[in-house]
Amino acid sequence: MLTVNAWTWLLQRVSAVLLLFLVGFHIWRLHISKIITLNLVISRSELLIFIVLDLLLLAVGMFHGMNGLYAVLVDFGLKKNVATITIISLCTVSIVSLGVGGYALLQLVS
Amino acid sequence: MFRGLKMTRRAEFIHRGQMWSAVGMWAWLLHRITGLGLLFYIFQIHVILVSTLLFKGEEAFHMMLALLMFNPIFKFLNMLLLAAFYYHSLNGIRLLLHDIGIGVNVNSTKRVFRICLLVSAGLWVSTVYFIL
Repeated sequence: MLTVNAWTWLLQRVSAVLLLFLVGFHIWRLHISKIITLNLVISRSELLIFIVLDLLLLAVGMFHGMNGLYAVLVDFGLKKNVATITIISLCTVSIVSLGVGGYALLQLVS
Repeated sequence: MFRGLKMTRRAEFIHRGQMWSAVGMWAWLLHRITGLGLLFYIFQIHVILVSTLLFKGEEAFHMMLALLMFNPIFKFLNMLLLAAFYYHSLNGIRLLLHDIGIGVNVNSTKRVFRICLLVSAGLWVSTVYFIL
């Protein structure tokens, strides 16, 4: 059985590999191959795959970033008694940003 | 006792010098800095800004987009962001390779790190060339 730390270590690696492809595709599609306009954003939102990819990018990126930030905080000497509240607040920030991003994507679809 | 203290300080000094003359320490520091920068920019500004712009309608979206894409200051910041992304991703690949045992000893760490820096610089220059 893996401990929690081993799981987050493994998931950090897995999300890193996913992010390489997702962010690469995101930058290529939105910033290099075409100049972004609102019409482009709306037209690509008609394809379900882009919505799924965007949501996946947001979720995986949020996990990778927040887990990385937690590792930085631990390295700076995070006390045991504030670890839980830190994890809860990091989760809250990521869930709020997922909610905002997901809501915007849903507005585009409808 | 004093002599012992002096020796440990000297040993610590040498140890720190060795630590910071290693490639991995600078790679680690840059990885941290770019990682934090990417997190705070992309998720707190990029996501929130673009999401709220999508609610505000076409005019606001295009005005903000023109500011972000054509203002020289923002253009410079975008290039910096791209450089941070390329460094973080290529060094991340180096860390993944390190985890499976490629580039572990001192010399090959240096070589792999140099290759990663070169590849990220090449990708950055080509992307900047395409965007500008």
